[in-house]
Amino acid sequence: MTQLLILCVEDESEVRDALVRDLEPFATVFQIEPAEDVADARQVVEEHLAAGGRLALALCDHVMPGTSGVDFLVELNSNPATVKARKILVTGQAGLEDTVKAVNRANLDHYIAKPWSIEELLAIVRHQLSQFAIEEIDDLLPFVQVLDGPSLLEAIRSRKVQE
Amino acid sequence: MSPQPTARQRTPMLLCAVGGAAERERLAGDLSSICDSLLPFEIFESGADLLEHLDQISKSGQAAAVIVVAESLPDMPGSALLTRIQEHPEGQRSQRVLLAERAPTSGAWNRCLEGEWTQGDLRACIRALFTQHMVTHNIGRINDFVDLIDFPLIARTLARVSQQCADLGAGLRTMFSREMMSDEELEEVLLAEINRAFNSPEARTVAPGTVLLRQGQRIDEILIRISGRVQLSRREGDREKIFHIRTVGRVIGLLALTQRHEAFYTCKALSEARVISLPLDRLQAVLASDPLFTSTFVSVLIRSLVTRNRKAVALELEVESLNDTLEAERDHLREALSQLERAHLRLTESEKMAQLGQLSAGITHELNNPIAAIRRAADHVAEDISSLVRSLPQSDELCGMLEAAMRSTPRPTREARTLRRNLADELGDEALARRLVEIGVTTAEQHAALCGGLRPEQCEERLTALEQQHRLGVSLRNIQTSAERVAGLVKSLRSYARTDGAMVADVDMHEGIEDTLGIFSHALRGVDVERRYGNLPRIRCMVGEINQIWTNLISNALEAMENQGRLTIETDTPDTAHVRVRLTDSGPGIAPENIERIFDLNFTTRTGAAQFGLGIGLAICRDIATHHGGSITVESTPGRTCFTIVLPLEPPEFPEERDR
Repeated sequence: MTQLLILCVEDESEVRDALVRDLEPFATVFQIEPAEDVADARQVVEEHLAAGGRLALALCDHVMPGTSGVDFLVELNSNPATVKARKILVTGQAGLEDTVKAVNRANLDHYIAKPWSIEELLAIVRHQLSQFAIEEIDDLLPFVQVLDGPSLLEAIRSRKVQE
Repeated sequence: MSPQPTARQRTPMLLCAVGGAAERERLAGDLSSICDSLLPFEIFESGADLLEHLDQISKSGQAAAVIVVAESLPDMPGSALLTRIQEHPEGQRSQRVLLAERAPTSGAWNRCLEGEWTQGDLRACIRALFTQHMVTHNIGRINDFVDLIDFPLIARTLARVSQQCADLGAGLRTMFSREMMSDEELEEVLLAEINRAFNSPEARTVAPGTVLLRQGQRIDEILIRISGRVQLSRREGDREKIFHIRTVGRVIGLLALTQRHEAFYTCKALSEARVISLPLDRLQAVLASDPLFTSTFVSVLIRSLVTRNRKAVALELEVESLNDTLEAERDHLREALSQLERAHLRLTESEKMAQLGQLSAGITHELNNPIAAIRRAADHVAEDISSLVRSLPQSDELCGMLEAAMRSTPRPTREARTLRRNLADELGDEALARRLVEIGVTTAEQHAALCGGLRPEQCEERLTALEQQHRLGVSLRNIQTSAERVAGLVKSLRSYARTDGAMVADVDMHEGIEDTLGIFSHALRGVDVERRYGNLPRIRCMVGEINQIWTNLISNALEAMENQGRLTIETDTPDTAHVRVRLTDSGPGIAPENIERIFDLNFTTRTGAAQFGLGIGLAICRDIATHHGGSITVESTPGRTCFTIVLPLEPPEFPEERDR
């Protein structure tokens, strides 16, 4: 089975720790990888793709040393290997201009303002991952437990109908 | 084409036009005698013949010196012919004689012989006129015509000319001597001269308010004011402007002499006045014949014009000086307006800062309690968890893991991945390697020490317990560090936003700079901040205002560097009475054409909206520095922009008063 990656790009270790911990419910079927800056994130993605995996979701802070989160998301969107990945901006500091850029050019799927609530975060991530899975993954069964079960089952059913 | 001979080289000619054949014959006889072959002559039957000859005369090398014409000609009257000759280019210089029964009252002739002419009259007439012509137009050849020249006439003419010269000289001398006179003396002389030259003309008395001349009306006389005050005024559009009262001279209506006989001013008597009217034609006649009067009159005229000219110059100068004053006033106003704008802006900013101060005071107060609670609660949780863990089996190992995690520093994600990969290679288990590295087990040996001799389920149990402790420890650590950060920010904000506007003694510059850096910590994450702090004495200043300077400079630097690069802050003491702070950024620099203007009010290179809302413009920064008796300057090259702020240890006693 193709290894699916959830990437968390966040420069502050406390926030990064919290994010990774909060995403633990998905750890059984996804590989969750933290990165402390964009350069690091690029490396993670590269290695993961090289190992035959796919990027399913990128959660990205905006204000970071070096390349900004939005610019990284734009980068992911222009790479055919990662264009399908779901993209979420997790930030307290993006201005209107950056946000507009993220929506228009990075095809941003969701914006989560810091501080986030665990319910909100899980609901959004679950929804996005479910969408990704339905669109991109052939075998949806392993995800039914972790993701949005009813939607996935519905998708499985309609695929069968189509066959 | 050979050049035509000039009139002087041409042969003088006597031309005649006489209608009757008998008269022509008689005239020819007389002229032969008179001209004595010296002066060639020609007699025509008609005016047209004579005019035709005149048209051709220059070609034959001749010039018309004297022309004799009879009044009765077959084709035109002689007087009409003479008028045409006078207008003819070849006839202008000729002297002209009309033979007529009776001389007309006027005409283009110099002499008229009435009735039958006698040879004697004709001779005298022709000699006199030929002499006149030669003296006037061809004096160089006079010797060729000695027998035809009337020398007594020349002598008389010379005597008259020399008398005229003498008179003129005398007149000029009197005129110059008059220039030395006072106005009153000269006026007295003028009145005496008028009495003499015009046979004591009568003066009339006019009542106050009498209009003596009206602007634009034709005038035939000038007025001599003997006594009383008059004013000269002129109407332009619907405004009547008075030009002269004290500068009105004795002679009124002078401009009429040159200006088409139209009154330039309206002249009105202000008091009872006595004036003499001099008709212009009589005045002109006297001026032509009486050099003594002329010189006096001209003197008065010049004096009067000089007085008016002086007034005009004085007015011009006054206008200029008024303009200068006006310009200075305007500069003054402009400056005042600019200061007012600055003051307004500063007040607005102070107001903003004061609001921020109040707001942050409120927020910090509210935040301090939860922060204190969080920090203490984290400690308490840590203590309680420690004692809880101590009650578990293998408490030492678990407590060790908990405390190690609490004290640990976060491992860089790159390093974690490398360690994980290496360990996974050794153990052949990616998932296990991930868990082990997470809790700090990074080698196969450490793993062996942990799990050696244990059954897989025992090993898993132990690992899970350690993971739990580790995560607890890390979470507690994160709570602590995050709470510390919030506490630090709150502290910065509180002292930073202090804006009571009072001068505070013993202020440490570094604290304000550090507070400001604290406020900007989020944006400074990508910036390498280098502090080169010297040993600064404490100064007396307005803390909030000085912090505005740091805020503005750091905000500008961050913007210029796009939140990446190096910010160097140096502090030192240039002398014992001042402190100096230099902020240098590695941004692209300020364009040379802008560097002179960056401290100007309202100058900005920002195209979009200000990011932070606290940047208040370098104009205000300079104002604040100046208010403290200090200065702010800038040097910039691409990649290095340095703002230097120098502040005195003690600001001037009353900066507000001094500024006024």
